[in-house]
Amino acid sequence: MRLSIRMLTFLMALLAFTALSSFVFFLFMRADETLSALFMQDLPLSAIQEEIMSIILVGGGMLVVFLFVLLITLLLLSDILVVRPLKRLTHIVSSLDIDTPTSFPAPHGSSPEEVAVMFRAIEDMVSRIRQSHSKDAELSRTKSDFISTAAHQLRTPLTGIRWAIEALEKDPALPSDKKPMVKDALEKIKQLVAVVKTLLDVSAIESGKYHYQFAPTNLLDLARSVVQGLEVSAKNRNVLVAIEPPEDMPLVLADTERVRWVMENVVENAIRYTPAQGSVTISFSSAGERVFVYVRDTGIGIPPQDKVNIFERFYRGKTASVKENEGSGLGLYIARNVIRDHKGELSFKNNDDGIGTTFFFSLPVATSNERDTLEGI
Amino acid sequence: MNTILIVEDDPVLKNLLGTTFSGRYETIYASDGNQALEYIDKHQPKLILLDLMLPNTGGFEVLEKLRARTDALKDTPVVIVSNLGQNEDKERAMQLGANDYMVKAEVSIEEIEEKVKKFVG
Repeated sequence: MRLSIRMLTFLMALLAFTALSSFVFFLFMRADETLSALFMQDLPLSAIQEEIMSIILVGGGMLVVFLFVLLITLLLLSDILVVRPLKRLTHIVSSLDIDTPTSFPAPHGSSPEEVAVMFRAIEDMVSRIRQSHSKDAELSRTKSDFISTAAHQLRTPLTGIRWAIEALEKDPALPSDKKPMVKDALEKIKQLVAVVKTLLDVSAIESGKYHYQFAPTNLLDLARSVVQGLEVSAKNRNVLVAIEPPEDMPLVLADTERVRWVMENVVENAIRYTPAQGSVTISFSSAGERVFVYVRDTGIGIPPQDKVNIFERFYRGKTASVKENEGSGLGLYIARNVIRDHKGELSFKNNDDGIGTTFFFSLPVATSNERDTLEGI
Repeated sequence: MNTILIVEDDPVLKNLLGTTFSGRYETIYASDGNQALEYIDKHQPKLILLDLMLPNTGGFEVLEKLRARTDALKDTPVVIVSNLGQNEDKERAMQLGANDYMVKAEVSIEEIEEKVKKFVG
């Protein structure tokens, strides 16, 4: 059974009180005796005064000694019973490795109960932390296992089909009237492979497992490449897409592939929601450590009721007619996350002249010593 | 003829690869990690085409064990030919000492052939 600090303190206080009371009592008795004897002897006042002083001095001296002993005892006890176990506990806790499943040491036999209780409470907390930590690790592993499994399951048959069709295409025995069909099939397979890649990347971004590869990027070149890719689509809808080149624009630190994806999404959206004869304009500005990209359309605008939800998953505004505007509803949601992963923000506003919307996002300027990781990611 | 080791567990893909390389190289096939390690010892290939998702010992572990050797085989060129394609998979493979990385679904067999030629001749 352990000592309790509370009990011990109480006992010591009781002891000190008893000792002090007895002492005062005896002192009083002694003083009384001495003074009575003195009065009987009929000594002068000064002698009496002297006697009283010596009693006080002796009494006071003994009291000081007593208090001193008490103090030393308290210091020793507190050191042995409280300070040392606490130091030991601090050492254990600070050198604890969450990942190694070592058992928590037990408190010394001499530690008082309150300290033992604290040991057990901390041990319990450590085990709970370990549990939740290993759950996190497991969840994280499950997420990457899913993507790895999905990648393997989707791509294995696609690879087989692709290689088989490529072999077929090269086969001299293939009748020439069958060649276009085989070529088409090959193209479709390659398209499917590209879609699978985007899906897997998006899945990784969603679950926070995507490893960005940041590098100094020229946004103007990127924008030009994106616009070129969407040329056909824009022409089909009779929408003019133009870029206003900036006078001077620094390189930004970005994962080129992912930012390209964001731009494609935003520009494609702009084209899709702009009626014929309309236009989509891309422009830039830089302020301090950031570069802004603006995508302005002359489209149907975003009605107030959609504003709040537009970045939510699978949300497509009520004005999107089903057949024409075939989006998955994921684009803006993921685009926003990607930009946030770049320490920027994607938002939009209705244009001042009342026609259409401008989407804009910012990216950090690449400094000269930039390496390929953003701090904190 | 130079020996190459192809570590691939899917029978269809193995078949498609086989018809390409036979004749030009002495091609050995392993269908899991353990077999791969065994055949490295036995046949001392000049190049290893290594898949990552393998039964028993996985591709990463095979690569790790290979590079941990203390003999001449330790530096055998390894080209990862896998359907895992996340940046972190590529990074991990390169860190473990792979010489190159190809995502099967994204390359043609010709491209693989060219890569092999680059390393073996």
